Amino acid sequence: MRRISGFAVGWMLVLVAIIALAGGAVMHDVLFAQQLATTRALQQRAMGMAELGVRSGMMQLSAANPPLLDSGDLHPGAAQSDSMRVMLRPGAAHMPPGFSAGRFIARDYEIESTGSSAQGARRVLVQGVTRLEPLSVTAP
Amino acid sequence: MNCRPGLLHGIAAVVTAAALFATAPARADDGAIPACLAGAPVPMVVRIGEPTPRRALLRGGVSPPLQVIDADTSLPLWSASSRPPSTQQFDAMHAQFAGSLLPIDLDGDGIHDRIYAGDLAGRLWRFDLHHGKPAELWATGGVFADLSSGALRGFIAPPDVSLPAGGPADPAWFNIALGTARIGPAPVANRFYVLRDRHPFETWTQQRYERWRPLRESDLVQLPAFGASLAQPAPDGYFSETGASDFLSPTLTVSGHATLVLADPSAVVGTGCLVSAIVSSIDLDTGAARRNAAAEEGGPARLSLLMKAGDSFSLLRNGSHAACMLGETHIASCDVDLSPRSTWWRREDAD
Repeated sequence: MRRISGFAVGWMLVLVAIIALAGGAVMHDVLFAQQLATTRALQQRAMGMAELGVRSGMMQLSAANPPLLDSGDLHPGAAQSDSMRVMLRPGAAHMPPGFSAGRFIARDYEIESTGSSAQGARRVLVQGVTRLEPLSVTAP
Repeated sequence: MNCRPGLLHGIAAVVTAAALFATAPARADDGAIPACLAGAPVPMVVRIGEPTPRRALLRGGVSPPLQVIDADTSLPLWSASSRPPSTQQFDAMHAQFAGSLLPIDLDGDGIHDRIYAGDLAGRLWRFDLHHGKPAELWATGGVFADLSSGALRGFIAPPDVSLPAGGPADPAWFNIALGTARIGPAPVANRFYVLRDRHPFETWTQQRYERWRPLRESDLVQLPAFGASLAQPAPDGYFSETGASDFLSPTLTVSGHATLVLADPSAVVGTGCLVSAIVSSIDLDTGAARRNAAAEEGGPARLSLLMKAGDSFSLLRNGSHAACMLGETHIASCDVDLSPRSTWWRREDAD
């Protein structure tokens, strides 16, 4: 009788250990998945900020002349942890095909947009752009 | 100096033009070109015998025919004529230059590398500028196209130079659009030329210029009428007659279409510089006039207006659009879309 109860206790202990291990594994999976989801969400927010920055850079190149070369940190959304920074780097100038030389020039730009969010999430997009610029014909 | 067939014509052009510009206000009523067309100096950036670039003005004249002066001090930096005391001598430079001057920065470094200049004898000159060389060696050049044909017509408006539309071509060439104007009181049959420089980015030595055989009208394809379309390949370019209409203003090329102004010499208003003119637009590749989509018959898009002779098109920027203006008149055919265009993309922190 004693032998049988000892055997049952052993099995119970093994069962409890297995359940505990399984529970721990599930908990670990859940926590890991949650962490992954949070990180992914933050990275997506950072990516969204970076894409917004690229659009902002394009708008600047469409409108302003000369464009602002460094926007500094901007917080376009409600969350203070979300930010973007847009840097415009003028590149080479060349003659645009199909346009009068001396009246127009085509200038290449790099729009570097950095989107950031909480927990150090960060995405950097670099967009190459060429812009047609009319040249002044007034004397220097 | 070598004697050549164009010499007498060149001398005649100089004398006529000098007299013309000197007495233009009094002669405006008999149809002569007003003095306001003598040509304003053209701003440029040069490096002549020194390591740093300098702002300068390029101007045409009688003696010397071409000169570069310091933009701030007006001190002469370089000059060219057929004989001393100019800084450089070019044997064929026996005619005067007026306002037909176009310096070009070929490599986008802010310093001008090339000059195209039309003289009053109807010849187009091409000069390569050698940065940092002393004034005596600064330019190599010569006649690129000799279109004089003995008539008293020459180039007053600056040439319009553009790469062909539709992206980089290999080999590339320059389309050089320019029209003639009479240089005396008698009416002449003017021409509009589109020449092709097949060596746009080559820097030529003086020996290379001396070997170059200038383009002539016989090398070009003649269109049956202004605005007609090319029916055959024109490797060196094409031209058409434009009657008595003078080209006094520079052409403006936008998206491969050249918008140009034909001034009516019989409609000079008073002694000023007001002339009646027609604005037209052509496709530089084919010479075909742009059609007016709004008109029922779809005829050439032409616009008549009164303008100051020699006025050039200006661009009024409003955001990513620039409206093309000639004086106070909006010319829709040369409006420009200045929107930036995406070329490439990369993600720097890719997983």
